[in-house]
Amino acid sequence: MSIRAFIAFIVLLVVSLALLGYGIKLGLPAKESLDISAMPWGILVPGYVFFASIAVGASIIDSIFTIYGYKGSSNTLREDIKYSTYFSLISLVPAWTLILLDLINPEHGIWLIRGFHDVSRIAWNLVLYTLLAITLLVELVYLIRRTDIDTIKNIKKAELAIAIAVLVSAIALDSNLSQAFGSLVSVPAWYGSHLVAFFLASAVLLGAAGQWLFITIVRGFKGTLRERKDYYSSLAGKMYLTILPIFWLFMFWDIVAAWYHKPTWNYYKELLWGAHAPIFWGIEVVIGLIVPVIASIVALEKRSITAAIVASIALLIAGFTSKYDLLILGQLARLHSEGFMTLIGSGFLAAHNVMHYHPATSEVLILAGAFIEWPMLLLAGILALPLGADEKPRHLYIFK
Amino acid sequence: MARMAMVIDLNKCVGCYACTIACIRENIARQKKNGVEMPDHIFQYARTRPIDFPLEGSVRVLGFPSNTPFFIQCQQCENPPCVAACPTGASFKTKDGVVLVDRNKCIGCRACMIACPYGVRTMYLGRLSSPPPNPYGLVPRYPDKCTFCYHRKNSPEGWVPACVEACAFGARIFGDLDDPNSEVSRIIRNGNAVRLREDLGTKPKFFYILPNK
Repeated sequence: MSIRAFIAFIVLLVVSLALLGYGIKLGLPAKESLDISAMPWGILVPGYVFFASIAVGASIIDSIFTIYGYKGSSNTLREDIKYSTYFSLISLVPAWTLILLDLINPEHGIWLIRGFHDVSRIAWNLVLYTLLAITLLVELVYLIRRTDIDTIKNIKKAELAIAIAVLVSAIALDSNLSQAFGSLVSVPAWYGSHLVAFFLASAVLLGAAGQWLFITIVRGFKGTLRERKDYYSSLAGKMYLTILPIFWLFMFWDIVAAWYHKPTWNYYKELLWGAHAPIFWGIEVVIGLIVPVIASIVALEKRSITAAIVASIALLIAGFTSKYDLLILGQLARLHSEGFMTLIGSGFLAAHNVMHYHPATSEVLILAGAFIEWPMLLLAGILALPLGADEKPRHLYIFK
Repeated sequence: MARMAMVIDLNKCVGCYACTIACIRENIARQKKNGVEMPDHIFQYARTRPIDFPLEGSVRVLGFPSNTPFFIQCQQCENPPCVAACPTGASFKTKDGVVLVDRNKCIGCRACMIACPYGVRTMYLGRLSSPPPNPYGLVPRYPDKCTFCYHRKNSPEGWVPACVEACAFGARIFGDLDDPNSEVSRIIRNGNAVRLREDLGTKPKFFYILPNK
């Protein structure tokens, strides 16, 4: 596996850097000026939220397993803990890549620290990302350095404390991230504290799907999946069938509540019956709900790994679409709402007819680069770090 | 302390666009040796913009006839959502109550643009080779908005924004809300002026006198 994995890593690295580099070089052209003025946040922002949600959700699941002493089948999950912690940590990187490259003037980034503005949710995101990354890093180093890996039954107090710190940081981060959108009274589709619950449920769903897929692929390549097939397939089935109803419950009540508020209803009207409806019904509902439910039941009943993989991939695709719909369509909907048309002036709607969002070439390249960066970094960890239960530290002094 | 404010009297405004042109000349267009340099779609970057599409929404919201000229610009809110959203403090409110952007601190996250419920912040991504016409003039790749011509604050002729100066019909009135003798204060005291989206709690310092029906 090692040589082929190394070649794959190099290929992914080169492709990712090429896409990101070319995307940066192209930049946003002048013709995007009117679009960015009317709709300031493009596709990189949903991409950023997607990866951040995966990292947060995976951290939450890991921590809950640790705190509540979930042992699983023959402590299988404990054997995967280093993989899953690394997965949570590394999923933050594409999120940061996307949001950093979305900045128009990143050269002034030092002002995020020097000019820290404590009422800005975006400013707090930086603090909370740092906190989550540090706690995850501490957890990973602790787990790798741990010598008593066989004493699985007795979770040490230190491990428990770290897991609680990760859990608190992850929930705080996701809540704050949701309110970076939810505190904006200017976008009716986002405004409100409901986004906290919505984001958390979505994060847990995405984190579960991403983490499960990663660990299953690693085990598949290592040849240890077959012996635990039944356990992994039923785990996926149980997780998805538990979280999906919670996520859709929030979605349902959000739609019901929006019905009583016209500006918010404009967004849902567009989502449910407007030009965007095929994406909502086709991807969010069919791929994001019906397919995972059926696949999860099959995974649970038939102990089918294939069905569980289908459910996981479907959830990731629908999860990205859900972020895209909320963040992009949410902005479009505000432009077309009666109150906002009154206020935006003749400019953008009249001159440019901003009815649909089309990402710039640079945005597409950067997003693709981040999506390739993700498996590249996961592979790098497998190659360089002792993430397996039986692996000993090999390369980095810090882990010895 | 002062609280600078502006009023547009829609009874006097004839929609001649003199204010928009004056704003472009003062803050957007750059003088070059052989002419003038401007962004494409120049009217979209004017800091006071006419609304020239059908006004059904305006009529319903503000309740005036649909042929009334109507201009939109930064509302210079007392509780500006753009300032609250800015993570670096680049968007800030001066002691005069004017919301400005410190370009040295701006990372270009566009949170201010999306936070503005009036949709009045713009960003031009093209290139302009000449320097801006004044220290607060439009600079590509930074959020741009009305500053009440802040560069004129210490002008010997007094602080009069270009749009106010250009209005031949006296439809635009500029002054200090904290000065009880200013014309702006008098108009507000008389209760003739309205603000946009009062329900949001942003407390704009930009007022409209609605046309007599």
